[in-house]
Amino acid sequence: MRLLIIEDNRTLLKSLKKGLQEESFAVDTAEDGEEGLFLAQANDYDVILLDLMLPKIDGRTLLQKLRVQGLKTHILILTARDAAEDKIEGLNAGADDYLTKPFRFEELLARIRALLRRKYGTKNPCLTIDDLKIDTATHAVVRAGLPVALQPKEYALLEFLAHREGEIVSRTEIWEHLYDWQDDTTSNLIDVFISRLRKKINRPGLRPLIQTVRGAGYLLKAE
Amino acid sequence: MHSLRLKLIVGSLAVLTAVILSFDAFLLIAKRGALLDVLDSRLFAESQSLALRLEIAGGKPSFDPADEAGAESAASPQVRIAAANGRTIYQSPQVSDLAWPAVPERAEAPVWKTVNAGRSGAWRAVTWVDRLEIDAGAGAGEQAAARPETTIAVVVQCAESLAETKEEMRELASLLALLSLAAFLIAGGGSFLLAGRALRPIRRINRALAGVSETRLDGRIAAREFDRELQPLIEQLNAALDRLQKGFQRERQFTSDASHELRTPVASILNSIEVLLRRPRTEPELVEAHRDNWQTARSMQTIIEGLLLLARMDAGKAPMAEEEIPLAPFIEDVLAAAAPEAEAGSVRLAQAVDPGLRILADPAQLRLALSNLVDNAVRYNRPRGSVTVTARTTEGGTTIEVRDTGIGILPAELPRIFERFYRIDPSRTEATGGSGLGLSIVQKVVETRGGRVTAASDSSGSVFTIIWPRR
Repeated sequence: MRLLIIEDNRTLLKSLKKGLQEESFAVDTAEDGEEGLFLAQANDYDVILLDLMLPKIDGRTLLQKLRVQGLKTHILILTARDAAEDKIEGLNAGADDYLTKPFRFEELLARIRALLRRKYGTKNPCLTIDDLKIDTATHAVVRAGLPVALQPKEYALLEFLAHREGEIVSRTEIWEHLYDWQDDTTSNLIDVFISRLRKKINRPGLRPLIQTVRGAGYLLKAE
Repeated sequence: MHSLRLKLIVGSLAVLTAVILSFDAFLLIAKRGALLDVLDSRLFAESQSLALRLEIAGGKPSFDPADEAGAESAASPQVRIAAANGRTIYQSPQVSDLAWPAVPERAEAPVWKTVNAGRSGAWRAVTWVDRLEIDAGAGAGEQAAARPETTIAVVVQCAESLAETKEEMRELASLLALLSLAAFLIAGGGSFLLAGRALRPIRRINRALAGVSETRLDGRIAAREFDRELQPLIEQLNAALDRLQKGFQRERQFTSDASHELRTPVASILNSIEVLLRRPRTEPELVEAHRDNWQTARSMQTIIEGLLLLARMDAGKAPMAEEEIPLAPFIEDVLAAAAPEAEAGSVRLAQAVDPGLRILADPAQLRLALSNLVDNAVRYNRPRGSVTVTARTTEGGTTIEVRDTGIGILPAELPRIFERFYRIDPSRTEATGGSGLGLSIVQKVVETRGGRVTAASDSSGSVFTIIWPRR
């Protein structure tokens, strides 16, 4: 899942990015409104975290611009302004959620996950495909009753495929949603992660859930 | 007596009472005069008619009281006819204790006098001297004048009790008292109502003001609805409310800005620690997080100290020393402190200060003000730019200028740059640093001392000018 954080406090930005990356998110950052607007338009983010007081373009204007352009990305406002009017204004301008600083990182995570569920049309934080169970809150993965140990990137890949269950997901899409600007990953590397993930999920004797569709991409689905 | 209404009522009643009383007194005095006049002329006429009945018998005057007898009563005039030597020729008998007034010397003309007559009260008496011709038959004015011995002087006195007059006066007095009391009561009621009417605008203003509170300062009094005399007062009140509202708004904005400015670094530190504690960390990770948090805490400290200083200066509680400061070495020091940052940004520092120039100032506060301006000038400069500090004596005192070659400030921004937490670029990153309070502090320091600080700017850079007064 790929996130964009637009926040002008550099140390807050840094610790947010670190924390979210450790939760298997791909994180892009922007320190001002202009850069944020550019990135939000250029990439398909799953969630955007937006500060309101920003240099160059302030957050509210940025939000309105994105919504006018028809961007459907879920946007969470992260700001020190805690007055009810500010919240009302922010949500009415097209934000999906509002969190005031200072905040608990856990709460931010939970809210991001809630927005992701909304995006992918699920209500249950536990995704179940055949005998594969993925707990998106704890990142615990169980196949046929046995836990599966995954690296963060492998987990992120699995969760993304699970959200798109039954759909063919292209390499480009995976690349766009799982990697940020700093990752100098080529789409070939995705093949490597897929094969590692496939080994862990499609254990011998079990139904193969992850399939390769030649020339199109990958597919996670129950038989 | 602290009631305006009471004062108005008492004041108007006092005036009214004085008017009524003097009117009453005038009426009584005039009436008494008129009554006495009537009485006096009647007494004189009476005594003249008596005098006609005087006869000369044997060279002596005699009076025949026969006609008098029927008309005698206590109230009727009393008479006394006396010879020139004081011997009484005739006297009405009724009032024995009436002390007839003495006959004035050379009293040809009638003299009226009020005399006391013991039990029967005051009497009014007229006294005059009649001259009877001895030869009554051949009476001729010229003869009489030629031969004075042919006339005999007779004193005629006539008196009447004043009881009736007194009674009349008493009746008038009680009537007046009654009328005056009625007038007083009516006027009292009237002035009570009038005072109430006069004070009604005050109650309305009071009501209007009662609706105005710290949280609801937008209420204003409609001046048009009041009398012309009250309009300036109401306009003043409204203007005061305007100022108050602006002040509160500024204060609220300031508080909200301050909490906002502090929340972000707090959020940064909390988030950093929370993320750090989620899993085991390597030493380099810990060191980096500590360094970041230390820097964030430092920026909070700068904001808090700026806020405290401004609050203390606003309250007039900041201690202020006064020393004579030689400016040239002082500015040298300030520039030296900014040198590392200037060097990092390839900014040249220069000064042109009249040697020997001295000003009176608190050294710590002056240093704070100047270093804020110099730091800004360095921070918002362009590479290979310069910062020049000049100081010279001018008419208003000492003028200190800090000139930079930065990108300049837009004209629209200039009036606001001294506002607390106002940022041309609302970035709060550590890259530009600053608490958003620097210029406010400069302004506060300079203005507290009675000076002025102004900013001017164009595309070639900005210049901040401090005019520091002599005293």
